[in-house]
Amino acid sequence: VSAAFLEAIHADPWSEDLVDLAELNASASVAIESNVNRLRDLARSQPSALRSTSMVVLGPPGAGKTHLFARLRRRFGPRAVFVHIRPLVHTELSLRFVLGETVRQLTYSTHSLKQVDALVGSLLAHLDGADVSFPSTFLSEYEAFDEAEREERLEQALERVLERWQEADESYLRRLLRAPFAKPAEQRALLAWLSGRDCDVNQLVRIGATASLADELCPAALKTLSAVAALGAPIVLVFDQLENLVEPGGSTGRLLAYGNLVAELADSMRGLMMVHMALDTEWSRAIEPAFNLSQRSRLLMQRQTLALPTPTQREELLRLWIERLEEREAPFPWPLGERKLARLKGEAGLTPRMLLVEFRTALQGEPDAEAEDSSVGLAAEWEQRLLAAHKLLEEASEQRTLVDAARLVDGLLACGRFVPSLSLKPSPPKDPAQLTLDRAGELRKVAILQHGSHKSLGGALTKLTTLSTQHPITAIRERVHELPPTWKDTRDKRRKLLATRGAQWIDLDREDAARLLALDELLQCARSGDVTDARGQPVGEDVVLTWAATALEPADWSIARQLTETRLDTEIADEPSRAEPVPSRGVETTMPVPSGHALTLLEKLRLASLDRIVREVTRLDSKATRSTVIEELTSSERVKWFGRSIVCARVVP
Amino acid sequence: MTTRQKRSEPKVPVEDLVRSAREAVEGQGSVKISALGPKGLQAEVVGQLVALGFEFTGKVVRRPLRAQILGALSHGASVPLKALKDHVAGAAPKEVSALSALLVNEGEALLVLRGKEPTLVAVTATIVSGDALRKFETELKSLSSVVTGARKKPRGALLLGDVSDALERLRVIAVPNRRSTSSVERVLRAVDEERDEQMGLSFVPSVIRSLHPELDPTQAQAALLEAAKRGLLELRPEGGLARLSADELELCPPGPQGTRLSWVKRSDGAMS
Repeated sequence: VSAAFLEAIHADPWSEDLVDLAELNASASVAIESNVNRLRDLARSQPSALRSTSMVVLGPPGAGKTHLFARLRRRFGPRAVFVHIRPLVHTELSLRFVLGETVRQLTYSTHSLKQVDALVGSLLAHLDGADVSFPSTFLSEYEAFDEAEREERLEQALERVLERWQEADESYLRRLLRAPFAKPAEQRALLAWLSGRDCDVNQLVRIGATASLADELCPAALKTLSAVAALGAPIVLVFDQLENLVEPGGSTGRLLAYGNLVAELADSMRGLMMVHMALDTEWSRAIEPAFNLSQRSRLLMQRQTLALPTPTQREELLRLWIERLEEREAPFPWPLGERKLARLKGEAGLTPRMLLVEFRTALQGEPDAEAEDSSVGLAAEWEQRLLAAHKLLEEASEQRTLVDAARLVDGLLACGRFVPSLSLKPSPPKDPAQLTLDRAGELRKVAILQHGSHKSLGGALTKLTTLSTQHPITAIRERVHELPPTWKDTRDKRRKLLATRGAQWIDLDREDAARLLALDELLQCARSGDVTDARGQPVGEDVVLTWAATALEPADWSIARQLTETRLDTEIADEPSRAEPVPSRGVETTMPVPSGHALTLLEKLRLASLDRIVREVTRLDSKATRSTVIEELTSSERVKWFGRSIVCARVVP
Repeated sequence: MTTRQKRSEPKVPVEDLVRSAREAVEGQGSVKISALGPKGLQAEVVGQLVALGFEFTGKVVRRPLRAQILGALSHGASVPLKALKDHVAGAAPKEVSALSALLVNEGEALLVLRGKEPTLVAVTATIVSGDALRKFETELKSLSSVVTGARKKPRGALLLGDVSDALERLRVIAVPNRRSTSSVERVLRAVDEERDEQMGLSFVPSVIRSLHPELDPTQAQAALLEAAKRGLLELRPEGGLARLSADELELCPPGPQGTRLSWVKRSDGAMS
């Protein structure tokens, strides 16, 4: 058994290393499988009759809901596209978010085949009347064609799809079909565009688009994607951990919003299989009663309650795990022993996760006294989530996209739970700032600006400048995505915004961004009973909250400090007004005055990367930041830029 | 001269073959591998059926033998061991006999004597066993000696009232065991009555409250655990967000790893 297997108390939906007892909850697998097959059959035989379908899968913590996802993903292979979505807790889920997650996960692989390749390959194979079981082989044939012939064939395929579904979005479909054959940089750009994310100018040029996908086009895009996928590899959209939508105090706003989203998906999409997973007890007591009849009829088309393993299945599971051990000291039931095996087989209420914990204990011995302390396990859980968040940020960087603002908003709201002075609330959906900060009765609007293109960012900054007449504004953007010097117009718009009363600009550090994402994930998992201590025992949500408050100290995180240290309007009003908007008060708070080190260094080096200069300057001057270095370099005429990251000192005659 | 053309068989999707095979196996108990479709697809069909929880013996695919045997014992049926092989499909008599012995050992079925015939019954059957059986034997011996003594004496006789008393004593001996079994039955009834039809689950505190005053909470909890041990019920740990009141927590039996067993459902058996 690999260490990963033993440590994997919580199922990883994307794990390639899965130990599975197919017999356990076979009925749930079969139900989903037959639904997917029916969707595919219907898409091929009666496309006009194709609708979406929905199923609810319920079970206690550790019963195998996420495992079911991993099992089906592996079983289907290229015959379906799987998307796993944990809901946004504090902000509403939108169609754009669902589209973004769906396309983002198209880059994930099952059996070493990317889902986007499986989707397009099986679609093309079906349209050509070939076997859809081997999409990669079919894609290879297309790759072997010269570019002109491939383009022609893709156009023919496009026409055939449009004959079936005239409402399909042609430009969306054209780019989707091209994605598997594109070179890496172009594929990244295509997927960014297809996901509805904000593309930068280079990406748009690369794919021949003039603008990113607008909000109003997202429903048509998702509709096109789900319908064409149904011909070869239908999309299975799994919403997990829905118990996180239950609000304290009996409010049902989030659940109703979720119900509306699902109703919209069920009514307007074709060929989509939706699976809603939740804790059984929460579903019956809080979730289902919150939905109205119309929502229930769309959500609850089918229901599956997961069973716990029978004594025989428990033994079979243990045998499967033991078979994975490289070294076995004795025959079965080692390492358990007959007595323990009998106890485990007979004990009421044992979930597969509990059984795995017992197995691990038997194999590794009783945990030491340190493990009794839940904080040890919680620290490990935190580290694991922090690592995953860093990975997500890295992945976004590699794809040249920005992490979804909605997730960061969720993270900030989670952070606000631990900082009394950080009273954040979600703003209404149409508000250009996603959050409202209440400081002693004064409202400040907080916007997270994760736009990839200068145009959309510029638009957002203009809207915020207008809004600033009513409330002071705080704008947040990841530091690694600092505005490049070539975005002159956008930088001007930022200056204008920062010149408004009380405006503030915060560069979000990578570490803080990762912490926000990890904190949100930790709190969601705590509610779902998926956080365990070092012994593998579940830790209650209240314990996790107490631990996070004391061990993580979110109040000391840079982002929380910067938000709570914003000045009140009354304080700003007391200051004499400044005639010169630049540098603004907002800039002052986060951007120290350039030191001159950057230019001196560049003259010495002649040619250098921006990263190097930032590194060297921040070493010399602790107050310097990336922003001050960029400001210093852009303000000098002696500096020539090559793209965004290389600078050179001009030779002065 | 006419050329004989090779007729190609229409292609049947594997999914359809699996669906029809599944229906056949569920209906008949077992199906021969040769009846599963074209030879080239048989392995695939068998693989998928096995993944669904059916058993493959090399010659046939069958419903799990355990489920077949337990199914034969449902609704109060009793099956002589000798005749058990006639109630299942796709299994050799030796295998049936070995599995029935295992089921008895694991407490999933009971072995009783009917006349001289060893007979298998479901665990819910009302039986006389253990201490009760020993007491029953002692009482019977004592009654037998009285009957023999009376018969050996010339014009010997017994008072009908004494005979009735002796028979009542025999009946009462069986009562403790009978009561423990019936607690399980009462619990099963209560679970059915309290079931949320949508979810298929019953809330344990409601089940225990509904049994009062017939069974006090401790007896009801014991009966629930007994029924779970026999594989009749599935007790499930509480996964909610601290929704149980202190009273409800008291009524839920403790579960593994510090949990409380707050929900219960009827077991589906090996195959649902």
